[in-house]
Amino acid sequence: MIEARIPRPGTGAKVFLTLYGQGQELWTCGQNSYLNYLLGRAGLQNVAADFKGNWLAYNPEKLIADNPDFILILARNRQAFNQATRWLESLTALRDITAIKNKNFIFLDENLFSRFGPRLVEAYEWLIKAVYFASNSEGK
Amino acid sequence: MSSRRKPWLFPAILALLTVAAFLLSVKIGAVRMSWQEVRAGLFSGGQYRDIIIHLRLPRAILAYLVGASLALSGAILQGYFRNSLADPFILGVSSGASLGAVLSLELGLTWTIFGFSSQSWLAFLTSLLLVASVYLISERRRLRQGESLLLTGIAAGAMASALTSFLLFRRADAYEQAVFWLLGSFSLSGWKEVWLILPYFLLALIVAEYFAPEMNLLALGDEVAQSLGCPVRTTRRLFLFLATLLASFSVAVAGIIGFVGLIVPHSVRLIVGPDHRPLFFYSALTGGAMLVWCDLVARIAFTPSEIPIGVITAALGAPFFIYLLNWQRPKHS
Repeated sequence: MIEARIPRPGTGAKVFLTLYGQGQELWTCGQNSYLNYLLGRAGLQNVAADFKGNWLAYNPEKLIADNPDFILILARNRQAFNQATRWLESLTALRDITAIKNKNFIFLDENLFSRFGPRLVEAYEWLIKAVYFASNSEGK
Repeated sequence: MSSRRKPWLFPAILALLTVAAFLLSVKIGAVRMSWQEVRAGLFSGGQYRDIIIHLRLPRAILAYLVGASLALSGAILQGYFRNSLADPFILGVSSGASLGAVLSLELGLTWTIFGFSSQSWLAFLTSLLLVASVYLISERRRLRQGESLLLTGIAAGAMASALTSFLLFRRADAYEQAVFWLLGSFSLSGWKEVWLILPYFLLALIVAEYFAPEMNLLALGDEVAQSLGCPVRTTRRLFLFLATLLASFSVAVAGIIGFVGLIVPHSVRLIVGPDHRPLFFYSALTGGAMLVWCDLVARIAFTPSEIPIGVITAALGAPFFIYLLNWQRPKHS
């Protein structure tokens, strides 16, 4: 049932994944990261996927041009996530990005997503639920 | 150099480089656009309006102001200490700022005031506090006060760095965050940073220009300056205050950007000579132009990623500085 809702790779919503807290920068995952693979598996298009790298500080004007539908935020807890969304909303330059205009922010638990390992299956489940079932409730 | 024979040459080249830096900063970026689209974005909206008005333009202006502030601060401190090794961070502004930023992470502070993060505020306050205490401690010495101030500053800076290392050692997970903050970047700078730093920069420039003749007297030594009617103590205090606040503001909005404050005043002195009035003025203008160019490189060298601007200032600035020092015969020295 879940699989039926997932679009074929590269056809789903455009997303931007960011790691909050690294200074005043937009850190994201490039083509060679496992998170990019995970996003692809979930039928999402990572806007930073054409950059051949692992982690990179993304250029904000590129983000405006990419205009993602969702912004996925890796944060260590809810509080940090809320802080991150407030910060993104406070940036005048980014106000017209679809994800920010519609407040389409998705919380990803840093503990679960920032390490490669067997728990990636759990992370995958969390991602699917958050994106397709609008359930943001800690992935349970 | 040829500045004596052609006094218009240096200002002309500088003006040209500045205008070119701003035009290219607005035109070039990760998103390609034509000159028509740039003009439309600037004056009549269009699809790239946000990119130009809220990203590229404030970023270029902020880079200019920070570069100008650091260079002016460096020029003041080099005059103050009569030592060409002085730079804006010599009294511990950078170590103090690092300590503040790391402290904010350690304490888990998450508030923002006027749109500036707790990290920026704490960095700003600790850097000012550190320099103020350095000054108050060394002021008690009557003789050779400049030297005592310099050494106390270096020692206090080392102490602050040690504390920073200790805090980072205790919390390895905060390390990355702190490093990225400290490396310095204009990546998402907007108009609020520009409005924060602009008034103080203009004020500092005007005051520094007004009191530049006093700085020229101080260059002769405190005793001589005193006998020529210069209020040594007040003048020194004023210049130290100006320079420190310039450096602290720069660090608070853009992180620690090294080298500009050292090489720009030095290079400008080789061109315009040791008189502090033109020296302050042209240092500020040159520092601004230089940082806009460096930021341009930081932005486009590895598109769509960005590299910290401090890396560029040193990587491009150092070879030029070495060339200037060793291959030109300075007239005034």
